[in-house]
Amino acid sequence: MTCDEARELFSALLDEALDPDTSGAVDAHVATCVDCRRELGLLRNTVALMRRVEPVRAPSGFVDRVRRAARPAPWYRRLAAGLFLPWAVKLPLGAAAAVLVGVMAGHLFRTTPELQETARVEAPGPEPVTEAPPPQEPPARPGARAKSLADEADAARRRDLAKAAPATAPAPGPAAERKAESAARAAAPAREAAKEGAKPTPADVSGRLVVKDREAAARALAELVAKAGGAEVARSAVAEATVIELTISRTGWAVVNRELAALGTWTPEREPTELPAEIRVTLQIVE
Amino acid sequence: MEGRGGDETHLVDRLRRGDPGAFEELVITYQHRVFGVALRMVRSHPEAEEIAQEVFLRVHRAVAEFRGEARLSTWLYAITSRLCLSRLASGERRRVYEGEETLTRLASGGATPVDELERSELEAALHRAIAELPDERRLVVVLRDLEGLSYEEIAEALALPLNTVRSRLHRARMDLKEKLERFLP
Repeated sequence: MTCDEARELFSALLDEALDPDTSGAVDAHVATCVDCRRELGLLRNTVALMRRVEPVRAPSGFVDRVRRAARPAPWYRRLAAGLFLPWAVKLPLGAAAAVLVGVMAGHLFRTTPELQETARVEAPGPEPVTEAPPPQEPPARPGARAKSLADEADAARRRDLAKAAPATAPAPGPAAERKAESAARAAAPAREAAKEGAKPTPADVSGRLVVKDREAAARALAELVAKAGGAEVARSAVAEATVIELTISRTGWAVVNRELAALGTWTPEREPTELPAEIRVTLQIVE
Repeated sequence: MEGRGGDETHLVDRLRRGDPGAFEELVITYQHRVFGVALRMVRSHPEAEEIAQEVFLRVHRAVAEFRGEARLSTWLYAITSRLCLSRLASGERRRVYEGEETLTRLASGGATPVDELERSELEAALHRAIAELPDERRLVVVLRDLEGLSYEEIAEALALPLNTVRSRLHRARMDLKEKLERFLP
């Protein structure tokens, strides 16, 4: 027997788990090998040390806690578990609930034109805007003005994006065509307004901004408006003034208004104390 | 070992009949052993108590299916071992380990302060050495050297071949010997 073979059996030897022949062979090897004798002695002492480790005790109150935990649950809990826990019941119920929610959401979407419009307008990515005949002017109704202003601003943004879109943009599919049509419909009033000198609706806020450099001020204003979430809807320049029309939220306008002082001298001509959520602003920039 | 032979068979019969006192007797009899194995494996009192509690609850639920082919204690060790290994393998460990002073106390040998100092140093080293063993080796050495199970009982509890138990135990003891050599006479 080699040293390696003998050492592999030391543990079993100490536990008296070897058959008599093997045990005798290991003993015979150890009797003639000093190293293995030493090794066996160390292993014996290790095992003896392990067996000196005191047993641990369960914490006090353990038996009571286990007994309480093992007590059957009250009848109503068992009933609830019986009704709702089995998958055979829970799965069909869950599936039915999911279908019901889906149907209700679909119905709500179909019966609410605002939701449909929002879904179209909020579609991501630049879309090429195709020319479309302007629709009939919708009848004015209370509360619709803010929406139409927002639509105009959005249409203007879309026009800008369309300009920035690469020439190799893929041909629009039917859905994209519908969106483009919708955007064109929304943009039409703004184009008309720009063409006719922004006559149809008077601005909520208007005023003069006296500056040293008209072009620089117009650029800075455009940046400021964009940062505040507004949109420029029309711009016209004559010999002595640049007129910029924009739509912006009331809070966005408050930000722009504060910053105007840095661009020049702002003299409001019309600035009511109460403003709607979305406002239309006409600024006349003069030198 | 408590609960052996006729006593154990009688206890199993009472458990199967739903005798309310039998379950309490089972817990009282085996609580320290089940908790001890769990604590040495997971090294956290709260986790060890959770495991020990779960062991007894499983026995409570499944005792009707216990055929009595294995010893009741072996069955308890089998459930404890499985729960410990699966807890150790899961990522849900809280990793708050107990200090060695609470886990690896050695039976007192000497009374002088020097003896005490040596003993506490040895306890710390022993605790570290056991903790550093791979989980499967640690389980075998705990069941054999701390709980006193035979090779056959360990093989049955862990559903392992006898030779695997033998070799894991040998490797575990060799690892311990290497780490504790400087303390050994």
